[in-house]
Amino acid sequence: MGALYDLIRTDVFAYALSKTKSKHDADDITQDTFVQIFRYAKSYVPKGKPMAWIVTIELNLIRKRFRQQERIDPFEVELEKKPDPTDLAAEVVGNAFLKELLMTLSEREREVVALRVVWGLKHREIARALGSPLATVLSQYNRAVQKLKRTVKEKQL
Amino acid sequence: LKQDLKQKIISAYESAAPNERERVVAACEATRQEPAPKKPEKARGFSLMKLVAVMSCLVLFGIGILVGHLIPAPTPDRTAQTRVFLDVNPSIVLTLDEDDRVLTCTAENDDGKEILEGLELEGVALKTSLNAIVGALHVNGYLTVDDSSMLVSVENASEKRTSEFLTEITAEVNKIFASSEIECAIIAQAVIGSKELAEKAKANGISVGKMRFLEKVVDAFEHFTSDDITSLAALSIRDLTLLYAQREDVGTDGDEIVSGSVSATVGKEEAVERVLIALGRSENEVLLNLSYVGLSTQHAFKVVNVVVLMFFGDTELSVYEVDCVTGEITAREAA
Repeated sequence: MGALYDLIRTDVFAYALSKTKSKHDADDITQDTFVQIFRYAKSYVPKGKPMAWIVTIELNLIRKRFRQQERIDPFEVELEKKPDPTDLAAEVVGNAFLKELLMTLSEREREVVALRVVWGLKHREIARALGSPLATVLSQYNRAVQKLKRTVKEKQL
Repeated sequence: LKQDLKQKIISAYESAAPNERERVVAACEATRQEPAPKKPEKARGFSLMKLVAVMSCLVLFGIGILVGHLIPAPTPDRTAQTRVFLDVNPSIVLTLDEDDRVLTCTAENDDGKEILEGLELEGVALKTSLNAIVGALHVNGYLTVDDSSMLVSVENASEKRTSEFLTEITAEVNKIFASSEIECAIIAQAVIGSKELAEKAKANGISVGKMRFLEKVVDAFEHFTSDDITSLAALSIRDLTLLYAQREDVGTDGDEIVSGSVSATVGKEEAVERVLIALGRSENEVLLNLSYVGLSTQHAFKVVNVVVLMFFGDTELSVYEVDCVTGEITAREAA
């Protein structure tokens, strides 16, 4: 489990942070995801890539956390509530680019970028995992990239 | 995505991700000690809460039936005469009554839902609705330089009325673009709805309008077959219009209006020219030129000029991809 943690901890954390925008929540979800992987590894039936299975586990944990916090289901409605920039800055201190990424992109855009860039999933796999049409995933990804390029240029990050 | 931006994203997450290997491994190990979760025991005996809940449901059910009988359901006096599909990537479908007022306005994908959020267009005139939708598209970052094409598809039983709609909608949308200083191409087409077309659209997760357009793209190029529909479905409307603009027979059907510039900045001939310049070769050295416009193998789902050349004295084909917009050249492995 230690080796797997070393290998994919950034991937799991990136996805959790992209969904929750909270480092505290992302830390907890990352740990819980590994515990769930460990717990259910024996019952895992290989179907496609194991990464997709891990995404599913993580998604369920994030959903559960949102329910527990009595927040709006992020999968149904985009969260309107924007985090306090000062809190966010404090959480990702020393990483101006990450702060801008979290602030600039919409939840779905962050999600797609994390899965594409950090996890290395193909657009098709992301579409399947999120239950979205491929064209939508591509559009969201391209928009996110354009926004980030603009931000990097404007803020000289 | 440029490599440095990709690296920036990965590094940013890497630096923020905690390394709590020992804590996580310990938490995993701790689950070994946990007893298997017990199934919750069923509550036995009489439950007052349950009884109250059941009784409440019965009372509500009874009231529902009573109201249903006393108040007749309103009979719709307006029926859908026309369907208008708007595709950028957000896909939106409007159904119109005979007065061209919106009966329903629905999103066909998540991006479409985002656009329609807060817009209540039922009963609103088509022109006003178009204004609201195009405005929302623009505000939400669509119809920009990188996303500058819109597909409008109209379905109406009357061929004449369909044609009028295409003209009217194109003119109206162009007017909105002009007032908002948006440079955008529009392809407006007639659609004859069928169960088969609807099923194909559903299978590919796209609107009926985009599905019909894909069929036209496949028909317009010899190297595409119906097997390519799934890959083409992933293309943006902008890329599809770029592709469609480079078909051999550029005449438009009577059921289609093309407005604004949809031609590629860098066409097939210019792409070949650019590759020759980059290689320091001349046209006279080319033995064979099999170039075409197609899908990139270097970038996911992007339309490019595929320049395929064989020079005198060579035994292999040289294959390059040239970006239709920027003219950037990337080499492909030899075919």
